[in-house]
Amino acid sequence: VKYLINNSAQTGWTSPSNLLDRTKGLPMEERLKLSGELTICNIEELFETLKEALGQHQQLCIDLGAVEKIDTAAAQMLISAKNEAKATSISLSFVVPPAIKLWLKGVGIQL
Amino acid sequence: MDLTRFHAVFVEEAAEHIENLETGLLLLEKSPDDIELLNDIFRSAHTIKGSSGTVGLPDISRFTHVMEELLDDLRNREFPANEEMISTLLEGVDMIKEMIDAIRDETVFEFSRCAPLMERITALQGKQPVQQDTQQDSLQITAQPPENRLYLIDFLTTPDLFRQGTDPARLISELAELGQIESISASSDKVPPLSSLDPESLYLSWIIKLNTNASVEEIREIFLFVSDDCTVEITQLLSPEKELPLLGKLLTEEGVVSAEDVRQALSKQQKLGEILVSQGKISQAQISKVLEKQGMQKAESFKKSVSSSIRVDLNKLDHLVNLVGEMVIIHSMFQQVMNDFEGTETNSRNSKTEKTERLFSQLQRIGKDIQEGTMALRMLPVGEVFQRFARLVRELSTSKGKEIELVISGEDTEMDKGVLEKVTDPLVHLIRNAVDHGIESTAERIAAGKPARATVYLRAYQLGDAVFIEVEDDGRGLDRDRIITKAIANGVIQSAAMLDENEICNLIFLPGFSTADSVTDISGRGVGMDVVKRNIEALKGSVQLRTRKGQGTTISIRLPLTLAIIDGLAASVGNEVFIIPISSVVESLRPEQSVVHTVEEQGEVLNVRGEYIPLLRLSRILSIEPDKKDPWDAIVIVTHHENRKYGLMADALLGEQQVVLKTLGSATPKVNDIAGGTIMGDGRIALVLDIAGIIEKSRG
Repeated sequence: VKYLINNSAQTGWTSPSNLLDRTKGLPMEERLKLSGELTICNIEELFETLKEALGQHQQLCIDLGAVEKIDTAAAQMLISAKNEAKATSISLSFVVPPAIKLWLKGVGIQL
Repeated sequence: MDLTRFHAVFVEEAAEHIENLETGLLLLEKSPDDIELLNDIFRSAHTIKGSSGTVGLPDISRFTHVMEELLDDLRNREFPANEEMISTLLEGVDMIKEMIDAIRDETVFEFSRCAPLMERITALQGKQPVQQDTQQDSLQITAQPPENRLYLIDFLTTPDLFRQGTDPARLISELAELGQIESISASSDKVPPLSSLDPESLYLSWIIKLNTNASVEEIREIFLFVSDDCTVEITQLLSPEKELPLLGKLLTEEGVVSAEDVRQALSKQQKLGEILVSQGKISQAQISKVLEKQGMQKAESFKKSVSSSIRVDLNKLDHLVNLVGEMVIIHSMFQQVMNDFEGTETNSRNSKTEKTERLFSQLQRIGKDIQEGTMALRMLPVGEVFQRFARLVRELSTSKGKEIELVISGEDTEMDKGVLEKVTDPLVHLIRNAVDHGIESTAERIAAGKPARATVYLRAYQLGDAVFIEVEDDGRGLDRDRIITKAIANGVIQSAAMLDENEICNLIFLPGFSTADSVTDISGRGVGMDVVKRNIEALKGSVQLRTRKGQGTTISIRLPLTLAIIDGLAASVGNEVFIIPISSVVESLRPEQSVVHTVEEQGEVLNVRGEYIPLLRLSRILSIEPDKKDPWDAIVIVTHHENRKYGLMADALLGEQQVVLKTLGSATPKVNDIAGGTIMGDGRIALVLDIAGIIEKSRG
């Protein structure tokens, strides 16, 4: 099964300094870049990654720009992450590429 | 897909609509302006058309469509129905009957036979004959592609779906292959925050609007593998072109604008009506007219979506009710056995008896649920009967030249079908009375300072174990003095001195009583209220009348929820056991010797907390040798009947129990004091007392 989620351990989080360069004026925000296939097959990994990211940052942006494939289980987890963020007053946003946007629209899921 | 298996259902369902069409058309001849009736006829035709199309019978669908178009024109008041139209439409009904007979008998019907009649119907519409292919003449062909339909799919998932290896997204894409998904929304309300999420559980559910020419079954097939765990509800909405731009479709139909205009207007995402007006295509007045129609159609489609049901033969249902009745009896018997058990083995109660007892109580609970469920099958909302009265009042008020509005409430109240059927005639009587005698003439009303438009209220509600139906009018009320004069003239009473207001009013329930000065075609022949009373009492119900002069009259009918199973109090007299319906029992007591008095010519009376009530010895009334001679040794069951209390003296109380009321059979002559028989838990037969009959007998 091809996967994966880029997390700090592997291809790494984009470092805060990088972020500062790109999104001027938003220093506290962390960008979590996910890539590859987000499906039920690697759902545990996504689960851990999201939990970790939400546990560490007050502002988080989940970037799905490099995601090639997503399924309902993963989409549901993103919703769950949103709910978690809401409950713990974390500001969470998503960057969704057109292909994923279309897929989400097709199954009636709103992030 | 083989649709023929649905044909039998269609034939049965269509029969009802054909009957409705037929009677409707006949009525229409008498009142061509009745829009409600026309709607009703149209609905029946529309249903035949729709369901024949669904089950793969395009010929019937095509033929009915032509009829439906003519009906639609009539409904839209383009022209009134004339005799020719009605007889042509009736011919059409006969034709549909033939086609349906052919399906039932599995014979072939030559569709070409319909052509001349279809042409005649179309000609009556004043439109060109529809293009039709008369070459295709047997029922088997399905040349026309089925119409697109809009379905609402409610997909309630199970959390285990992922673990079963199913991604709902796959099901959704399969749905998309069937047609066009018009809207889809996943409900994420149940998705928990990450901290309490089980990543392999599914929390989302979907609501999908699908536009497709597939049938419900085809859609269901997609959900086949998940149907064991998930709930999939598929509802057919009105056809897409009717559902969405209804106004647009109507405008197009009316020929006011072209379909292209509507589409363009729609793309602008403003109010369709406004755009068309601003474009000068139509006037505001035209819009209002069509909007009115839109409202009507909406109301109609609402009505249509309300009830979904299957038809069951009443005999089958009664059989089921009977079986449940038997079950109730076995339960009582079982209970008896259990009780005996307990009596003999008090010290050796082991876990087995306890277990049996627990299981028994569970069984009993389920039994009660089944019993209630079965009884509910016989229940019908009173609305079906009430709706008829709207027409009745309308006709009566026109013929009497009075302005009357019928206000109906509580249509959802449910009643036993048998009771409901039998209560219809008395209600017709009461409503006729209200319109004819109750409501004054318009001039009289204005003189009395009342609104010219009178109101008759028809309401139903459930209170405890009874259903109440009330007919109220805001008319002149009953004239007390006229009732007295009439009653004295008829020799019903000698003087009114002894009677209170309530008793005077209730005199009108006596046979041969009518206060109307003249006999009209509606009522006043003196056979009215007594028949009503008798009919209602036959249903174990009662009638009450309240009236205030100048303000109106209310007649209230109280009916038991069901007749088949009653709660009863078992009491013994001598060696016999009798059941007294709990509904008429107030209390039971053993009187002190000091409160039993004998009043000359009145018999024995009982002083119950200051209230004197007559004491009736059941042993005397039923001619049985009692065990207890004196009331202070025996038991007195205080019952109520027609606002009065009566003490029934029995030897002993045996307890409360549910009994299945059985008729005594045709071999037994009608006995007034016995309502029926039942089988007790110990297998003995007990008679169920009819309190009204007992009291009657005690007087005689």
